[in-house]
Amino acid sequence: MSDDVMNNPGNLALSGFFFSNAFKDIIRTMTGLELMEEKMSMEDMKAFKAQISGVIILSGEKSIMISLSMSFIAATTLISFMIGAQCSELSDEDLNDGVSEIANVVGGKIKTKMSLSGIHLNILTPFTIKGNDHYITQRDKVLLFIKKFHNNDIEILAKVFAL
Amino acid sequence: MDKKKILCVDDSTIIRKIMRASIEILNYSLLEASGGTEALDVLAKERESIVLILLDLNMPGMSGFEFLKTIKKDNLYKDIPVMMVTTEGEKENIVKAVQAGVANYLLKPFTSEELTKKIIQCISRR
Repeated sequence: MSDDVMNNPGNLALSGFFFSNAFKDIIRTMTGLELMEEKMSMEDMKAFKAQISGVIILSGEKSIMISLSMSFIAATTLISFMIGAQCSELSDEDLNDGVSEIANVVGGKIKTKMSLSGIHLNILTPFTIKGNDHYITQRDKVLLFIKKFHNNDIEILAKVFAL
Repeated sequence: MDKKKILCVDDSTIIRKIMRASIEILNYSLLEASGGTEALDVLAKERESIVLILLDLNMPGMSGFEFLKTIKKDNLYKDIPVMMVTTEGEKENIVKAVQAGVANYLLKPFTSEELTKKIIQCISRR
């Protein structure tokens, strides 16, 4: 899979370049943090173990699932920047809601982009998955895009699946 | 005198917290509802003090459009300006929202500056 173009079996009119820039722009706007992309081997990416993931599903004539996985420390840092609160002030609900809201905003951006290509999707309610060392995969393994983003101690693994 | 209030209708607690900071800077109080049905209850109690509604589009239960349609049909509430704050950037949704009577439309993600600027625009148009 190329770094810049998604594996695109469904002609989803969505490039990896667009996804990466959209994601970095969303994080910059919501938190003020600049993320950088990191090249990794597929084995390294499979070894990435998350503690919390925000997930959003876009459904329609083509359906995709986006997951954003990270550690609790990364999520706490992101959410504290989002709402201007100390990390120690954040509740579990803040983390769950904040991570799923980031996924929701990413999903909205992708939905808007795809509508420009005539693909109209419905955005479903985002959710979070929590648990030490979890890894998100999909039965048929139609992984369109995978990339790690980082800023100092924050590492986020973004995946886009065709459903 | 009681502060004028802005009602934020969004199922995300984080978005409501982000909005609270900006709204308090503008010297308004924030009322919160996590969905359309809860927002109707808040409206019934606080109608006189609410100067603006910030409304998400996608919420479990009553959607933003259903809530908007309900209040625009009600003489008690129809004149309260409503600003959509949503991830939905498709032209069709923006047109539909404007036709349904929204005063402004703000896409997520937004900066504090963008939010306060649009709030001021909405309130000063009244």
